Amino acid sequence: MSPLRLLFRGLAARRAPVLLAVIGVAINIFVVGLGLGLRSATAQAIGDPTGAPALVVGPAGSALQLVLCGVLLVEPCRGQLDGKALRAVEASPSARQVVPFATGDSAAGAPVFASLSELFAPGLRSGAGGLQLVEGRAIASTRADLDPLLDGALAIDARFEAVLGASAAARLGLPLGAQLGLQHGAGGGAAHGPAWTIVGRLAPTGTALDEAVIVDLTGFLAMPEHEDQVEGRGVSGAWVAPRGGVHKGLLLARLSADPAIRVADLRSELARLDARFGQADRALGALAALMVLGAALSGGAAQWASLAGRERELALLVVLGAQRRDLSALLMAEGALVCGGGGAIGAGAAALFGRWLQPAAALLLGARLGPGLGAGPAVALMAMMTLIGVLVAIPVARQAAGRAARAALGAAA
Amino acid sequence: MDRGAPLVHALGVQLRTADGARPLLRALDWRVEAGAAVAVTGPSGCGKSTLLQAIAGLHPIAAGELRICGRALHAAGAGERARLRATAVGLVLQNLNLLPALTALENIALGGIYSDVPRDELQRRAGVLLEAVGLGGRGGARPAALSLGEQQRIAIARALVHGPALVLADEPTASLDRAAGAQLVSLIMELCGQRAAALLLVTHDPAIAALLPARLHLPDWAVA
Repeated sequence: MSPLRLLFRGLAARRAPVLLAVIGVAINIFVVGLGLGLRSATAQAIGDPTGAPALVVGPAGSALQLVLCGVLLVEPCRGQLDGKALRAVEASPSARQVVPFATGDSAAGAPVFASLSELFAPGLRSGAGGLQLVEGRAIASTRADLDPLLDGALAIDARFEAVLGASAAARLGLPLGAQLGLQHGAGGGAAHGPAWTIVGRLAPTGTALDEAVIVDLTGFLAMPEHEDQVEGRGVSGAWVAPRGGVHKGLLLARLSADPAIRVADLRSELARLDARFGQADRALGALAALMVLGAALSGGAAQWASLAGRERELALLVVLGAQRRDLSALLMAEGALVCGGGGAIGAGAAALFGRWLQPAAALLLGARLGPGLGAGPAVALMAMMTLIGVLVAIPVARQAAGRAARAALGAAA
Repeated sequence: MDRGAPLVHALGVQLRTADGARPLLRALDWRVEAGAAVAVTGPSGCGKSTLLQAIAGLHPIAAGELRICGRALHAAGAGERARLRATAVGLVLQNLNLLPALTALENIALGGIYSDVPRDELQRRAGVLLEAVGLGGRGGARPAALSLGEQQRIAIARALVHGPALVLADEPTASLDRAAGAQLVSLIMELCGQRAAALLLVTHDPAIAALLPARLHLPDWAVA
């Protein structure tokens, strides 16, 4: 007989209240884990915006939505920019470089970003050089190849080539020359169009492009499903690099005056997004603190409630030679097991639920989320609850030691 | 412990009730040698159980000196007194206090949970004692499945499992008939004798007390 065996036998004997306490802790930690996972999922989806273009233009709509679809690749773009509008942007003297793109499809769960060879050129992305390839080559079609398509010409020379972002390449494990198909929508949509040949693999960029499959825009527009029945062919938007100095402001002012065009200043939109996340973070933090407190109370209250029924057991241990520290260790280990066990179940369930939520969000909302609560934070949550279980048991143990010593007199009498 | 020193040595020991309100014993001078078997007798309320608690380090000593196995209990802290119970003293309680979640064998082994006896050895000794108290086939039974007499024998085995020098038995026959009580006392004496452990047995029954070779009649020392 060891104290550890005694501990497990005691817990087994009180399985109903112990199970209730574990479930109480697990529910609270599940909610905390879910919140943290959601925060992590959105943060993972957004990635590091450093190295993104200064401005994004698209059809009339929300500027934030344009950033979410055109830079962060979190959700599909709505509407399209026709050839005329695109050329109007390009004609602006303040625009140094304009690179059109289209989104809306996915490939094996990765968002598809259709663009041209100019996307890979240096100078487009603020604070970063051109896109670096680990192997293979970039997309071949140039801006000049796009014009005939936008003007309604037959897509004879369209290229069906793809370059994999670093994370997407690691996940898919496809070599150069392999082929993959596109699905309509963010995930789970019907496969459509021809097979695309992988011609290159990107070095990590720290942006949403890491998760993406970058395809040739000419091939993308050549697919009949991407041709608007009324407006003909168009792109989702364009990344715009303004000239230096005051040109960014001038470009913003000029493009904002066109009702058919929406221009988004990436920096200010990201600041707005950060502010929203800041509010959400504070609310989430308060909720998490409440839930952790609830979990601690669940574990502590269950132990406290069991004390009265265990007076004789603890008194017997005193009679058998248990010291105050032995009783404290027993009760703290119990607290650690109940709270740590509940924490493990709650955090594990939250992590699994996050994995399930990822494709569900893509299917139902068209939004791309990260995988949610990772193993590290889940283990940290469990460890925190184990520690809380120990801390909560300290006052219980103090009370129990006093009671047991008094009850030991009764037991021995 | 010094060779030849008494196992229990009380010198002018005074005890009061647990709340300290009423004196119970006046200046008890008493010696119990190693391996002795002594009946502590007297009517209910004379302080028999309180004396046993004091020897076990569970009841404070109001005045005087009490040495158990050479250790000065009157001056010992709570930790030292607990250590004494864990290693040198075995208790058979009036209320059996077997843990219902543990089997008979585990309840016996529980007696040495805070002793220095290695776990494997404790387990082995528990098996030997289970046989010795005549319950060899009932090691896996829970207390609820045992009769009162069987539970009492498990409690005796538990008091001996860590090899104490002194066994304190507080009215172990209180809930048994006289014949069963006499059998039980014989069993305790036999087991203590085999292990050279001294036995202090509290009883208010003169017939039970007569089974033991020595006697401490507590009313002689009680406060009038």
